[in-house]
Amino acid sequence: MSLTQVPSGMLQTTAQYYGFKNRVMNGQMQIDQRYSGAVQSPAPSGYSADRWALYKSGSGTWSYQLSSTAPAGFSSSMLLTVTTTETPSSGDYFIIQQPIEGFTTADLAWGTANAQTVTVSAWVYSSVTGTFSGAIRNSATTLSYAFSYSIPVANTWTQISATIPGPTTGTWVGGTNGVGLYLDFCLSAGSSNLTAAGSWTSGSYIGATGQTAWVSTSGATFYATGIQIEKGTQATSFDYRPYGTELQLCQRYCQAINNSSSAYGTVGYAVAFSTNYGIINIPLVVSMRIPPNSLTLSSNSHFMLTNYNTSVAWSSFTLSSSNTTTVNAEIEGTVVSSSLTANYPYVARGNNSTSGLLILSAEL
Amino acid sequence: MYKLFKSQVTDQIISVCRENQNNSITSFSFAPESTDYQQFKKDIQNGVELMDSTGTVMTQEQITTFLSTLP
Repeated sequence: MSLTQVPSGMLQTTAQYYGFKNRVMNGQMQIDQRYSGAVQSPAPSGYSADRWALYKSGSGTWSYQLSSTAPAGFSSSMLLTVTTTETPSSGDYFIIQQPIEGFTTADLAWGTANAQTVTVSAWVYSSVTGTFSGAIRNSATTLSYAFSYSIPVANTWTQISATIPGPTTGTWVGGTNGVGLYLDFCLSAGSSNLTAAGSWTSGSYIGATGQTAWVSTSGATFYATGIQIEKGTQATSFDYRPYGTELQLCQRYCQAINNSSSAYGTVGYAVAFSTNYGIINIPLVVSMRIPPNSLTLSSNSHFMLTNYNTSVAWSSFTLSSSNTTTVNAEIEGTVVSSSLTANYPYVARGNNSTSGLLILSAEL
Repeated sequence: MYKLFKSQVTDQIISVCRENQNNSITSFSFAPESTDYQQFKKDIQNGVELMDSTGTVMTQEQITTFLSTLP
């Protein structure tokens, strides 16, 4: 059997053919543990689709939803829609942001003489044409690199990219579980949040001068998907990862128990501390970045404690931070009546509700 | 509006709860790196209502005293 020599470039990471080249998680916008594709109007202030946060300042409002509108090769995108217009004042901003963990960016060696160049790429689609922008910032938001791109045709998918030279100065966290870098896509911003594109600048800027005021158009839409940051000087094909793998990557930061398919779905195992107070242990499906520090419940009444003889709905539950680890969450709280038996074991489960949703967050 | 949560286990205030726009409820610990906690501090300093664990609205003086105990 003859052997074919592999071109040497194929074996080098600089050739950009290797897997897991994308430092962005959920760049395909497939995972939405918090909202399962439901419209959120107004858009949440904070995390929306997994790993993607929305932040705004100003009187304008927007809504958020995952959408099935997508360019060839993708099946979903993030959709933002202007619900109240405004003319951005100096300090206003509307951004999509992903904080990327230091462990995921440490090899870029930013802040050193060996700083590596990266290329940001994405597919975008907007009802408003013009110049749009974004930025990369360090964790202290004391150093920013703004980039700009054009959307020349409305309601048409456009692939954009920006190559960013690695910064040899500035404070970057390196290999830690803190924020390695912030990636921002700006939809509108006032002048004090914008700087000239194309160079590293001291200060915190989330976009480039010339940014279109997207939020000034009533009903304006903006879709984004296929977002990637990779080492190298050019954008290459999107780093498609298996759905299960991408979900697990996202679960390092957020884990949701969704009872939509089981009205009595099990949440965890509990013990009654008193007749009206329970402690529940929830094993985490992957080790989280840090012990989760927030718990969101669709409603306490969507859950109960039961020993299959006595069942009682939750009244008020919270995280027990001192006993929660990266692999196990402990939550505790009261139930609606004093019908538990102290020190007895119980099962925490759905309370005959397919709306039950429990979210544990360890986000950056 | 926020409400403090007192643990029966430790008899200490261990978290704060917030009702969200979609009527879900988020509770979070007093972890300085938590964005929820950072927003909570900003909000109550800007006059957003804070209730103690029994549901009584706290006065500004009580809030100031409580804030001084937080990280």
